[in-house]
Amino acid sequence: MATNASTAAPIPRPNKRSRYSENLLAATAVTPPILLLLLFIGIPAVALLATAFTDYSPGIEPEFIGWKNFTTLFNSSVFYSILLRNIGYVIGVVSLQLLVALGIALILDNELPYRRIWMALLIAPFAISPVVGVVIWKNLLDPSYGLVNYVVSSLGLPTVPWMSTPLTSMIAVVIVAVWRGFPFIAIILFAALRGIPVEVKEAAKIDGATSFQIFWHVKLPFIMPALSIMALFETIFAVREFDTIQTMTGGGPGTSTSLLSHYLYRTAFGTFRFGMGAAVGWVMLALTMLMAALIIWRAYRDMFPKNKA
Amino acid sequence: MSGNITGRILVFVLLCIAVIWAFFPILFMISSSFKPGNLIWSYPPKLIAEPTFANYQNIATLFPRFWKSFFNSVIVTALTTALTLTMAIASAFVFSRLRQPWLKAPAFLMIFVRMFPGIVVVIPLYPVFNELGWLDTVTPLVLCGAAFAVSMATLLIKTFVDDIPVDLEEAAMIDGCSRVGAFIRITLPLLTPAIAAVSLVVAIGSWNEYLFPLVFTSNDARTAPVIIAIAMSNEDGVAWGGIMAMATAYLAPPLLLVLMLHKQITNVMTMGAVKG
Repeated sequence: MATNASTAAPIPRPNKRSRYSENLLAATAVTPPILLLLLFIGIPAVALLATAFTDYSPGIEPEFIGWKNFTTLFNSSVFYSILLRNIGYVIGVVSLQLLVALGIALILDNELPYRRIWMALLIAPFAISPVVGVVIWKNLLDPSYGLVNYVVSSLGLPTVPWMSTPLTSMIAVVIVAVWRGFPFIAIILFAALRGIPVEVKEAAKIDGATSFQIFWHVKLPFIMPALSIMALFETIFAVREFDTIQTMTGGGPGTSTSLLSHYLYRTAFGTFRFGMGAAVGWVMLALTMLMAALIIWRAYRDMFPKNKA
Repeated sequence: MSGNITGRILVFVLLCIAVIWAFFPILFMISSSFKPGNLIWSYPPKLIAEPTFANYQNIATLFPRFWKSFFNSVIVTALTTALTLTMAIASAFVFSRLRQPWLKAPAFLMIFVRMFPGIVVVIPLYPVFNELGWLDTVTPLVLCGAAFAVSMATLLIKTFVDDIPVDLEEAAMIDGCSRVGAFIRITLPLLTPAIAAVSLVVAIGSWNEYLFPLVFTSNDARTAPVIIAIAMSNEDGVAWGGIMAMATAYLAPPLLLVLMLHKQITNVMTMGAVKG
């Protein structure tokens, strides 16, 4: 009791003066990042939403044209195929990333000698820039001289015409995206697996559960929250995929590997139809916010735990 | 898991496959960058050849803008990381230690706005930067980079500040320290490892940024990823040796840092995503 009192007593009751200085302190610290976020993200995003209703192009006075950009967009078969491709791309990349990451996290969760070294090597692709990743894989996947096709053909299998058809170009992009993206997820899932109490796993083993049963009934439910948050995060990042498409395929052949971001970029900076590009931006923002709502809510709740109740 | 030998061998084989998938591509490119030009496309592919620095020596003549762009990358990364971390540490302190009800508004803004894709701000910002004369300078790269990184950095550092008991700061305040002074003298030193790791994650993001330099620069302020991408799209096949050398030079700093500091990075990434 006495100790309690002595630790509680020194906390100064905020009087008017100190409350004023605390407000000032908080405002001083929070203003620069908020200003930066508003000036370079928030306000531009709102401006973009407005631009979508104009025929804006650099050097030309923008004119209000109502929903015209949207009707043009939604009547264009190119846009639909890009939208569908983007959705397919997101599903493919995210599920592959999660599978690869989960597999690697499960491997790391065993008793391994030198685990730290293995982990360091496994997370290395996280450091690689998308452009360098493309250099690496364009070389490995070269249809005639690349190492991948060499290995494939020495196994007696038919070689793959990488990056010469829409499908193989898309697969190449997916490979780079999965390769760069899985380390982050694997680390998170590994940490989640480590968080499972040993007693739980031991109890399951004593009950005679097989490795697969332990995975399915014990490990998987336990890491489900981490897994689903990662799925959302990676979905948001896959929706905006730009770097790999732009540097690996340039959206080609034709527009056969173009995704929303890339289409937006080409529309705005290739043909200078900023208004139309902005309309594509609307679609991307809508998709992103749909996915992000849950993450935003969760992060906000974590930041102010009082709201939990 | 248990003493099961087959199981252990299976795990080890799978581990080897995983490591080859993750790390071998990097190793192969590094090795290719030291091959003489005629061996880069030798068939069957050579894993290791008599090493030569010729590709590195040729960078300056083949891609005269590369080293300048590499230097630009260093400047942009250093400034972005410094700006981001300064803001993030200050706001993390405030979000963690103060309980002003109105702080919920900026916190929500931070969490909400960080979800926006970079490509959507590029269109409206381009004419503005043009007007301000900022195109082809490092200014927009640093400001946009920091704007997109500051939320994540703040939230990560806040989780670390939360873990440090406030009692120590309060004791220092009784001894006459100001609130900020107590934070800087007592808590900040304890945060050094976390801040180093967050800096590294922010720096890697900035170092690898491609979209902003692609759109906002044309010559003087171009960073290396754009130069490498341009070199690659010039489909001569001739310059691959130089491209490999540029790519290896560019991935070396982040790769070495990640290999050395992977434990700290792992901690930070785990904190940010799993906590709560």
